[in-house]
Amino acid sequence: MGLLTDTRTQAVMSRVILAIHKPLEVLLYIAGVASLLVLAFTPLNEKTYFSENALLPGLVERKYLNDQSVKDYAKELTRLGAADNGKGPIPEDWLKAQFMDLGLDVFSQNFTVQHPFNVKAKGTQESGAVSGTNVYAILRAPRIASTEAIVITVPYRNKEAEAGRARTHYGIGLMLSLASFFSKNTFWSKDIIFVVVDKEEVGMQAWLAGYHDSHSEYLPTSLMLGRSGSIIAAINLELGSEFTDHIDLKIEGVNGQLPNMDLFNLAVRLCRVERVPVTFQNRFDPSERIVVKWAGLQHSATTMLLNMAKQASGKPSGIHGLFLRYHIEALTLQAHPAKRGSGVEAVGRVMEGVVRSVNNLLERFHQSFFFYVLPSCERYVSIGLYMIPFGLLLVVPTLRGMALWLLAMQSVEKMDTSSDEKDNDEKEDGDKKKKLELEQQGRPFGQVMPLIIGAHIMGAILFISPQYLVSEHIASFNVTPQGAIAIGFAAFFVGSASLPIFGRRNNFQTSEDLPSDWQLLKCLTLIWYTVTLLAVSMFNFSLAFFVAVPTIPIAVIVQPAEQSVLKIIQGFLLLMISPLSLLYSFITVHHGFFNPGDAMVDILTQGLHKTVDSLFEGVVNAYLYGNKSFALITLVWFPVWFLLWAVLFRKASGKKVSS
Amino acid sequence: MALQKKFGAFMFFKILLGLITFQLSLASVTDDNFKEDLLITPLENGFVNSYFKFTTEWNTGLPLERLHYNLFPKSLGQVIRKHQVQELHLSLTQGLWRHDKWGYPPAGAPPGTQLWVWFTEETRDVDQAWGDLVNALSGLFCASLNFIDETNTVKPELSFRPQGIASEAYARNTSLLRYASLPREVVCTENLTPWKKLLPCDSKAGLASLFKADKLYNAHYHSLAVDLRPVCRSGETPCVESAVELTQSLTVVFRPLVQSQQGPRQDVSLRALFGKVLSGPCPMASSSRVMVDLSKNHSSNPLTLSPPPSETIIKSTGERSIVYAVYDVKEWSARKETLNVALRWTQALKYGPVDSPPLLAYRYLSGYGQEKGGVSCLLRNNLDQPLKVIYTETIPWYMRLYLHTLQIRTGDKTIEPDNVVYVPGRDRSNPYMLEVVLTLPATSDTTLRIDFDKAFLRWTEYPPDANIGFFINSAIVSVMLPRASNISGAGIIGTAVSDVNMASSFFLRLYTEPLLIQLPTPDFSMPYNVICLACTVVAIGFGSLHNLTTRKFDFVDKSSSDGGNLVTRLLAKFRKKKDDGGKEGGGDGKEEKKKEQTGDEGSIQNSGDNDVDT
Repeated sequence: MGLLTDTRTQAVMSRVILAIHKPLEVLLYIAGVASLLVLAFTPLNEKTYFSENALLPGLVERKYLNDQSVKDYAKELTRLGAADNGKGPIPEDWLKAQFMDLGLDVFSQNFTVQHPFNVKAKGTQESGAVSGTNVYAILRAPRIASTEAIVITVPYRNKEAEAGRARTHYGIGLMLSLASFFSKNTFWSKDIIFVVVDKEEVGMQAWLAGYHDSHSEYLPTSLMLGRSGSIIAAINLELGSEFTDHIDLKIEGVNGQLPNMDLFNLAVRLCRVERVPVTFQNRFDPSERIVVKWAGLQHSATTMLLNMAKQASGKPSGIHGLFLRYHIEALTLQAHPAKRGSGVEAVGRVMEGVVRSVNNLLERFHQSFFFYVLPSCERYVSIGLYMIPFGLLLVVPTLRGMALWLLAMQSVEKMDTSSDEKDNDEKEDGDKKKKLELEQQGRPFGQVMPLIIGAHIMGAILFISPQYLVSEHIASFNVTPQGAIAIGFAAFFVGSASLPIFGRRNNFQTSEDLPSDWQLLKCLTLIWYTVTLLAVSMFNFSLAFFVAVPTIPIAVIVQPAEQSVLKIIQGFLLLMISPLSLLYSFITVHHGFFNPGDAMVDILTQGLHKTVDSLFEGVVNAYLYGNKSFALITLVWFPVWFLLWAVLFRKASGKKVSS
Repeated sequence: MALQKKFGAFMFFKILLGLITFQLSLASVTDDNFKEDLLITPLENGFVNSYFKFTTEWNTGLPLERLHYNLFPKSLGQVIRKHQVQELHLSLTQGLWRHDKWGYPPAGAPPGTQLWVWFTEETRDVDQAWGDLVNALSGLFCASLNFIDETNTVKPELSFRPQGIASEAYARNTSLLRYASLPREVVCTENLTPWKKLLPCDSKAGLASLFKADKLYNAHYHSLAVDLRPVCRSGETPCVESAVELTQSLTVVFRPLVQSQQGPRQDVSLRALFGKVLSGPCPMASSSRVMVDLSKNHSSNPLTLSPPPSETIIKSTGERSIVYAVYDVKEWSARKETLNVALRWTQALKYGPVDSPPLLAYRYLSGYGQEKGGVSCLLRNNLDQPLKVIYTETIPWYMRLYLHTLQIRTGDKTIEPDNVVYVPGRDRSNPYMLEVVLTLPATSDTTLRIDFDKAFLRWTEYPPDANIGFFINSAIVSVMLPRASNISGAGIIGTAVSDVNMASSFFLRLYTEPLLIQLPTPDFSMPYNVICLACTVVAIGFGSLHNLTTRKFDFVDKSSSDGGNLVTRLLAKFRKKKDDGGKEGGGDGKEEKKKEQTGDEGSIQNSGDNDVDT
């Protein structure tokens, strides 16, 4: 118990910290980053397994047998979709008629989503609102009173919406065919809801909000008659051709939420049983030959990093991602088209197997992991493993923070002792008294707190600025909303960054007669930064990790510099880790990874365009889907960055000491 | 003498006559009557409802005083006698009656188990009687009725009235009424067996011989019910003496689809539905009939019956008529023939939208997450006149309702309830009960919503399968419908299906969907980890923080106490040197200055003090 109160051990500890914190920090940083990457190595992580025994995966004989009807449905859909030059609305009547013919309860939901900024965004009408129609049908399970349900979704894509996205007409065909097959069986213990989703994420969100009766100002109420009970799981199917090369599983949801790992394992297992090749992040598992070699590590680590990059973006990787927020386990099966390969029937049997396994469940998914990263389809790194490297990483700023805390006290002392030099005789008498005073006066919180509070107020202003940036004054300037947000943010950023440089001396630089406070300022900033990173890592580990890796070393070494060269170098490094440039670098690196052939300039400019878009998207997603990335950046990480920036421009030390 | 003799003979005759009349009256008192009916109603989109109704009427008063039983089941009679029951209504149901597709049921019941009982006025301790009764019934029907306790029992004030004869004063005394519902307790064969044992013929003869568990439970809806109530003796127009009526009913909805070239066909027969044919009536039954509801026989796809019915009953209400084809099972058995009623449609089944009944209720949960939520109910009035309904919710205590959040809206208009009865719940003792009387505007959708917070349960209060969630009772919507249209089975109150009173208005009780909510559930799979972690955190974190925050730190003058020890001095010196080294290693960049300072004040005592400070 004496650990914290015994002054002697305290003294020893503080001396140890001051002595070895620098080499230790370097060591911990390298150990942290390296050990996380090494976790992707197959011998170091674990094989996936089924935690929930009730799933009984692949145990039942799958009986789905249908080929022709799917093809017919798909043909009909292509014909209907081609109307109006492929710009027509979702063929609501046709879909309803098909479901009706199967004897299901058929409903449709008309939705209109107000755009947060009431301006014309990409792919919307003039009014700035997105409207569409979701068609859905419910197969009522005979044995329950509609208390639980399983959802199968397929996004509807006509030619116009198809840009960049694969077609799904075979998916809708397969869904109808499955509905017909399912409705002939009586073993269902959960209702099955088949949803044809219009307008991708927006439509999915509208449907979910309608189903859960949770409306926001952007999603006005629409009467929804057809409901079932609480949804246990949702499977999103994207199938655009008769033959499938492989099925890619997508799991990442809004805010980096992931479905329960049992559901992922289930999909993998059933694909394997039906001999449909399965990938994760569009990458096959490393082959047996290379799995314990360097190439195997490279392969797995790349898959894992891609998984983490998607998770860190906070954007859903498919429309399934919106379910996760409602505590509904969901994933996307994206079939990649091929001239030959697995047929529709195999994919249908995979779907049948997944749905029937979920149907077996007695309780909700709760057994397996909710926090994990995947280096391949068969291996996983759980929260228990990946938090250790991350913890090592976070010790770095904590250590430096502690060291600075101790140094801050010393500099105050020094200030005092140096000013007391004259009356050396009285020193011994007044020594105790002085120490007491010092203890009470303590570290110069009074000097740094206004700055810290100010920085956070700036963050809050930035957080609420998009409405003003876009909705109020966009008409006066000839810019797109994307541009307005990007320019506005950049301007705010430059303005705030210039504050410490041109700001008044006594606000941003220590005045002559006060002790230097940069240690305390930096100490508090680092501790606050560590705390926020830790908190973020609890719900979106990847985001915290990707932010921590580049920022921590720079945040740790920044300190006031007398020489202008050092100052410029540090300033440059700090600018590199500012939220905007970090976003830009991540997006550029990601873009560069997928387009390795492109010229450097192309990659850089493409990255810039994507950054501008994703900035806007981030803001819109924050309003529509409750994406937290924008709030994190503006309310937490921008103030932290600004405080570090301010540290750079603070005076190195008190008057006398520095002289 | 002769007179004497004559008188004696007269007396003898009189006594004899008296005895005979006494015997006769005794016979007429014990006289009980048993009827059995089966009503087959084809529903839209390929569903078929079969409604079995077994009625035993016993000319005796309540509370039961007689000890001799004839047709009335003794096992139930004893329970009723012991616990002073006036009326008893029990239903055990699997599945949900889909009002929007099937119209109204002949006997409505919520999914799961429902029990409501009126006790006699003589009952001294109603709660005690209720507690004993549920345990007795639990044993009688092999159902977990013993889970009914004070945490799920309510006394509704408005929506439940005695269904038999009762004085107005008695009907208003709801302290004699108890209602409870267990939405998770579904029905299965172990309930069917004791239920059919209450019948005079068990399932050995009569309509009950059709019961085959594998067919009955492979259905879309299955509901067993037992209803007991006092009624007027049959044939008495002014009600002088009462009788006890026991109704046992079984409602099963099938979807017997057969694939054919033209599409699915919904042709049904007794053999197809139940796997058996009828060989005869229950010998104890005074009447035994099979009826087919032909009211919805469309001319576009007419339905033919084989064999042809013995008679057809047509009852007209003006705008629409009810048509029943009746088969007298006794007649068939007299002819030594088995009866296999078959319904055959000329065309294959064509799915399509269904005519909506006058009043519909859809209930759902609003919101998501484990902190709070709302219960909403959409009430759709399809009639062109306002409807007055009573909406009743029974909510367990762990959903903390807030009455001020009660919102009733039609479109953008807020509707003021006519009356609200609200009994707030208390943790672990009684549930919330809300009864709202409201008037639904003509042809409107009215949404009623009330919000709740989810409570934390103690860890021992979770059931073993906590992660399935917690089932919430169906809401009950009671209404007087002005027209008897769209009742799939009618015969809700009449003693036999064919005797249904086609009164201009009739009472209807709608049961909505039960709900399944998720409460914050601990991860029971790793209690050991959690306990270890929590204890460690508490031990380290709390202990030291408590120490730091409750102690006052002060400086101690070391020189005055024991600074003189040689060892401590040496140690202190050693420490001081290391301290200097550490500072250099720290790379402060101000080495010269530091050395100067330490040189100035380099006494052992001071450095010791410095130790305390740093």
